[in-house]
Amino acid sequence: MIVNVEHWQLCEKAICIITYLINGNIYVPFAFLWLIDRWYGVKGNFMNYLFLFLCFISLLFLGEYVLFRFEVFKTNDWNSWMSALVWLFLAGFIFIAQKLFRRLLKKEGGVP
Amino acid sequence: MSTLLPLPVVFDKNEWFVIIMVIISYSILFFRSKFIPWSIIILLILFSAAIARMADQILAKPMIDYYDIMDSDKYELFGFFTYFLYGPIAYLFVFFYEKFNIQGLSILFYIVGWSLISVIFEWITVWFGVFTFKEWIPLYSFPVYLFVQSLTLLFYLFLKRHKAVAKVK
Repeated sequence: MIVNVEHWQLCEKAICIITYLINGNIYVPFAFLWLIDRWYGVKGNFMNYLFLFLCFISLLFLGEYVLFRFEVFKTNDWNSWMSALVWLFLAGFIFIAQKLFRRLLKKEGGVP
Repeated sequence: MSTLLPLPVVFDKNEWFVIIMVIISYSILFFRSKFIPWSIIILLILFSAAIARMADQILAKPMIDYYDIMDSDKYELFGFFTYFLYGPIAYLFVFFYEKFNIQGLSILFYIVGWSLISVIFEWITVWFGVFTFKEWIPLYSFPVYLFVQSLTLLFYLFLKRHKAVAKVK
């Protein structure tokens, strides 16, 4: 029910499942919120944005590494590049959704 | 190797129920009254889907496994579509709250009433095979709905106040 694909095999102990849910429902969403919040606060050149994005990716990899290190899940035929691709796709989707929502808010007069 | 979102084992009444209910419920949104803006409706849809997903992750996970959604214990494509059903119901819940200007103790009766309606709707979904209860009965869902609908109303009131403040600024 939680993990469908066989690339990730979740440990069946209660503590593992709770940790996995905390990561998916709290840690990862807050990392994305942090990125979007900081993104609009960054003043400067491309390097500042790149640095911010690298910090964000590092945060996500840190979470994933901790889960992997404490054997919350095991991987089969999966590597960090695949995770990075998933994070990039998700970040792109969230940025587009956030832009569209901001435009809707402007139209409704909610954002100055 | 399993796929990310498996297709139905048999395409029968539960899949048709989800398709027809999604079409009917989202049609309601297009003929909606104008006093609840789209921005709030979108957030209500996402909020109710997220709550439902979290509840399913807790109650239908391998160790507890009180019920299955759709044909198998996997997270199926049509299981994913079921999360779209909660949004329009949350919209109707806040729509009638605004329409009848419910205040004070009436809010309690309103939430209890909607929780009963939700339990009946859930019983219909069980009948159509959307949910397959193992160690769960619809009566257990009643306190869950009481909590979730109170949370939905609080979330709506928070959004409404936040939007009003943003407009004043």
